[in-house]
Amino acid sequence: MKSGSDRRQYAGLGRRRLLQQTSALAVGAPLWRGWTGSTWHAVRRAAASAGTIRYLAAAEDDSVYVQKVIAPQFFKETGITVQVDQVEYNDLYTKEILEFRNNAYDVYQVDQVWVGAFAKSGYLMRLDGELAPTTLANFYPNLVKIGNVDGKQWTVPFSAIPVNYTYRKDLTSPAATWDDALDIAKRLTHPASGGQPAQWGFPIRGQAGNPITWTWLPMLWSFGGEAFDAKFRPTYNNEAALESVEFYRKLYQYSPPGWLSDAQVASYMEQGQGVQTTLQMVFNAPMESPKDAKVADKIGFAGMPKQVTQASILGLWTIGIAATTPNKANALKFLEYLSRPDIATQMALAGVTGAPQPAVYRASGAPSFFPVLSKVLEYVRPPPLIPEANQWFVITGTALQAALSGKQSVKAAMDGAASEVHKMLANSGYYK
Amino acid sequence: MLNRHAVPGLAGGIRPTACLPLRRVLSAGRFRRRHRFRFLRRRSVAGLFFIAPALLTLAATFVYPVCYNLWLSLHSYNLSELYLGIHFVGLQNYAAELGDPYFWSALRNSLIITLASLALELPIGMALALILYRRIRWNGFFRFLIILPLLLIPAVTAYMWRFMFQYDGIVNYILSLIHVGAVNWAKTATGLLSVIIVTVWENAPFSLIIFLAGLQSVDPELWAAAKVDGAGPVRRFLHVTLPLMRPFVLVVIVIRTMDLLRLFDEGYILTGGAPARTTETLSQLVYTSTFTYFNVGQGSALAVVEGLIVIAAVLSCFLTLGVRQGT
Repeated sequence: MKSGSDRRQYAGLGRRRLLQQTSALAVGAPLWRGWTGSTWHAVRRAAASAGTIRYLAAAEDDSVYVQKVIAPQFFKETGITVQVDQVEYNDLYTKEILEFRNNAYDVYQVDQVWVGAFAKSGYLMRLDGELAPTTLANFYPNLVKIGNVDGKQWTVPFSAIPVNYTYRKDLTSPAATWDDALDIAKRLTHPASGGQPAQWGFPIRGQAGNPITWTWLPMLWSFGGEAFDAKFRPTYNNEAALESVEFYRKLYQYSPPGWLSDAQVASYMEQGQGVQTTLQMVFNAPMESPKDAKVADKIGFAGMPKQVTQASILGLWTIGIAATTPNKANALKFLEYLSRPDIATQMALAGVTGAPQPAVYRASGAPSFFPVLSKVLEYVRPPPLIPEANQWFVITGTALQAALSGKQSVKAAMDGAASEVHKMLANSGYYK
Repeated sequence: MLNRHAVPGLAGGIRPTACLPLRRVLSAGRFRRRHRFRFLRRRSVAGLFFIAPALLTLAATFVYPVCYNLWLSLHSYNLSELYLGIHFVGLQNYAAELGDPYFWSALRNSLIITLASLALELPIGMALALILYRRIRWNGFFRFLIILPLLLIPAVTAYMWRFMFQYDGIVNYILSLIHVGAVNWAKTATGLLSVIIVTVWENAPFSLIIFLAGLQSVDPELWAAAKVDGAGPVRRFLHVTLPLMRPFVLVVIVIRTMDLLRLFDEGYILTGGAPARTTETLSQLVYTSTFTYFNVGQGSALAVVEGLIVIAAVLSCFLTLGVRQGT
């Protein structure tokens, strides 16, 4: 029989061993799990990356088409799977910057205004020498230039999206000038009555930041104004610019109250509640499709109204590859596939992209609005392409909302914006 | 004569220490002290092993981010302009934010939303708790129905209400039916009001839950006694129920104050700060600085300032409304 001390000794040894083993397990298990988890993750990623690339895009019709039609075609041809993730435009910039740093995606849909910032920050892979020589030759040269920063090519054009004028051809003829557009809006805006919904003379895309500024820039240029002078000093509080904002404020009275997105504006037109608007051309196809629009046969497209000059703004989606992608070869294959004339034509004829290649406009079976677009492309301009574009849009958009809502006078709002932009660019070293 | 059986550690017996030589007494004491400390050391080391994963997790998810945030707030660092580099700027970010009119506007908006929401959530929660405390028919069903908004995801709730608040949405339709007329919810005042409405709709059930628990902890004999003394329902509520519910009211105020000062989802989705950032809250301002401008230095400074404001608000709640010990 064990003595008391033997029992204590025996129990002590057992308890000590138990404590040691349990402690080792408590510390070691998470470490083991972490190591094996990261190892497993690396193995899994390597296996997946062998035939898969991840593409981050804007939540628009073009990305849906890529996901549902182009990606399966590409897989059939190359055996490479394309996983498409879509994010709303207003959140895409934020998402892309964060995901660049996380190395989560291989291919990115990059707005033209972001190319400079991404390229200079080292987020994008340089494409010079990586693409076949004929790839870039397919595009409009001025569009290729937009993806070129400091003499190096960082992205290729994907969808050229000019803004065109849309109107109800059963209610009015197209406005030749901006003053005409205001008259039409005044005349044809009716409140809701007798069970009929309200009719709005000019629904305006007025969300904060980029959207409201995008709508205004063609007006600014048409009134003879500019955003910057040659030395990048903001000039949109000069006489022509103030006149354009005053006009914008008058036109806003004939838009539904609130700050509408482009999809909401398109919806007003499709439901027959809008008389005229200016919107990106990607909404043209749904507007004249009986499947999407109540008044499909009554929608017409025309060039932009003119004041001092005729002007439109070019939105350009480009495609770039992450600098740190482990799937460089597959990503380049996908980029080249999207750049092929037959694929660009297919997407343009489906109405989901704006054709960035001249050959597309000569294709048979082109939609009815293609002749309008090819004319608009003659006077279209990109927005200011500066690395600080995102901040510039927020500052300008805030001032425009202040002016349109009456929170500030037009002059006070635009003076404030000009001062803020000047300060921002000075901090970025523009005026040294 | 030495009785080995009486000396501890040798054979389990007891022997008065006066019978032992001094050297042995001293060495036995030292042995016990060393033994005691060794025992303690073993326990503390073992204990540290057990809590090490939790400590490491805490360090990784709280201590490190807080310290990194403080470090960032003292530097100029823009994620979208990495080519400008990272520079130490001291308290410049803090000074810039305190001199920024958008900061004071955001602070004002956060305070308005907090105070207005509390002013509505507390009485609504209390009223609902008083009603549901009674044994009314289908009590359980009504409790579930009223608590339902709390179970929804805030972003989903906000999107749902955003559609309802459109100019030609259902809210304006109902308002026009009752001859109030359509309201433009996109202005500053109405924008803030829409955020308050949604926040109260979503979170009044939280107050209900806490107050209901509080009511169930009150001794019904107190009400009975008050009733016998001639107190009506209002006086019973003011002089019996409310004083006893004070700790629960404090809990609701403290938790909701913290939540409301840090409100983001509802404000961002309903108004987005429009028009012209006049409905922006503190959290939205942090988001704009950090994720729109990618000025993480300034965003971090704002986050620190916001954190201090929340701490100050909670402390002032305790100081002004704190329950005295023994009451």
